[in-house]
Amino acid sequence: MSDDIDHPACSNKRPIVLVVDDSPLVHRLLKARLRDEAIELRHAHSGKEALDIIHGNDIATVLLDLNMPEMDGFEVLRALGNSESGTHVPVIVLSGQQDSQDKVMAFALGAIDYITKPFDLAELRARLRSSLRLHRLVRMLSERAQLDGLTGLWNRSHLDERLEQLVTTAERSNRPLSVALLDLDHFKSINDNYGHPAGDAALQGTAEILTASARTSDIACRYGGEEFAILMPETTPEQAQVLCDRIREAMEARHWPAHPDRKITVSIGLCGSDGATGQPPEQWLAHADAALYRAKEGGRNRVIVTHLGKGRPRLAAAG
Amino acid sequence: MADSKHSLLYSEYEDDPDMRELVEQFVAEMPERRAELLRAASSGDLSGAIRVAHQLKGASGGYGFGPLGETACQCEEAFKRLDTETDRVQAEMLLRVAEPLLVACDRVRVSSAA
Repeated sequence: MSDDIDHPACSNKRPIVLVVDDSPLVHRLLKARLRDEAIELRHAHSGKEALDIIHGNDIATVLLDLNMPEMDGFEVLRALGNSESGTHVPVIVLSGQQDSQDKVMAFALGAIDYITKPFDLAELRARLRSSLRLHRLVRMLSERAQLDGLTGLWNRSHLDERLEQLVTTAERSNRPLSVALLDLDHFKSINDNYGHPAGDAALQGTAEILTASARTSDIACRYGGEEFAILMPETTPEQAQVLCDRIREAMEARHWPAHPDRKITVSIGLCGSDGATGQPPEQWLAHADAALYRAKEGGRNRVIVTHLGKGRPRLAAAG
Repeated sequence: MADSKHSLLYSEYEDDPDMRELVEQFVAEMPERRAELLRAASSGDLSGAIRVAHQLKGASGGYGFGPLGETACQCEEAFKRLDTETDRVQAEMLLRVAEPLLVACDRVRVSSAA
C-alpha cells in the first residue's frame, strides 16, 4: 500500500537547480549563497556534462555560464532547443559577457533570463525563485493536460507516453514489466438502473481503490469509459497478479452508497514478462486486452495472466 | 578595499560569518590562480590567459573583491584585443597585459584586522 503512487498531486521533492560553469569558484560561491533556498543544487563543469544531467533528471532551472571551453553556453542552449526533454527546462544565463548581442542571442536560443557576473545575490535569488515558479506552473499545466477530469488518474495520453518509455527501458535492460487492463463488469447496467451519477461514483471509487492498492512506482490510468490500466515497472507477472487480485477483491468488497445491494466487480487482463520480449508497446496492450477478453468470457470477476517472453505467450488464470 | 593603487585588497564580506570560510579559501587559492595566469602568459598561451582572467572577472565580485574583478575584466578585454592574425602573440606581450592582474592577485587578503 502506498500514498505516494506516481501521481501528479504527489510531487513534494525539492526542485533541482543545475549550475553549469567551468569555474569551481562560481560553483563554490553558489553552493554557499543558495544554501538556504528550498532547492537541490547539482553541478556540471562543462556543457556536455550539463546535457547528460539534464537528459537524465527532472531539472527545474539551469544556471548556465556562456563562456566555457569546448561546448559553450550557446551550444548548450541550441542542444536543449533541439531535444525533446530540454524544451521545458528554464535556463537562466549567468555570464560575465555583457554585450547586448550575447543577451539577444541567448534569449533567441531559449533562455528565459540573463544575469551578468558579478551578480547581486538578492537579485539572483529573486530571479531564480521566479524561474522556479514558472517551471512549477508549466509543469502543472502539462500534468493537467494528462489527467482524467473525473477520476484524477492519469489519462490515455499519459499511459501511451509512459508505456513506450517503460517498454523501451525494460527491453533494453532485460528487466521485468507488467501491464494490466481492467474493465468494470456490467457497468452499463449501473448507469441504466441507478443513473449516471452512480456510474460516475463507481468510476471514482475504482480510481480510489487503484490509487490505494498501487505502489509508488506503479502508474494507474483511466484508459477510457469504464476501462482502467496499470503499468507496473520492475514487476514480474506473478507479482503483478498478486496486486491485481488485491484490487479485484477490494472492488468486490466495496460498499456503494448509491446501490448498497449491488456489488461491482472487475475483470482484469494482465500481461507481463521477467525480461526482454522483443514486443513493441502496442503489442503489450493487445496481449493485455486479449487476456481481459478471456476474463470476461470466463465469467468475469477474475484475473487472467499472459506471460510474455521470447516464445509464445502463455496464459494463466486466477481469481 | 583599495585605498591606492598598491594598497591591499580586502573582501567586503570580511565581517560576514557566512562568507568567512569561502573568502579564506578564495584568498588561499589565489597564488595558484596567479601562477596559472603567469604560466599561460609566459608560454604565449592566449586562450589559457583569457580563461583565468575571465574566471576571476566572473567570481571575484561574488567573494567581495570587486576591484580585483574589475582589473580582471580590463585584462580579459585587453587580451581579446590582441589580434592573433596580425600581431605575433609573444609571451612578453601577454605578460605586459597580464601585469596589472598579477599585481592585483598579490594584493588580496582575507581581513584588514591586524
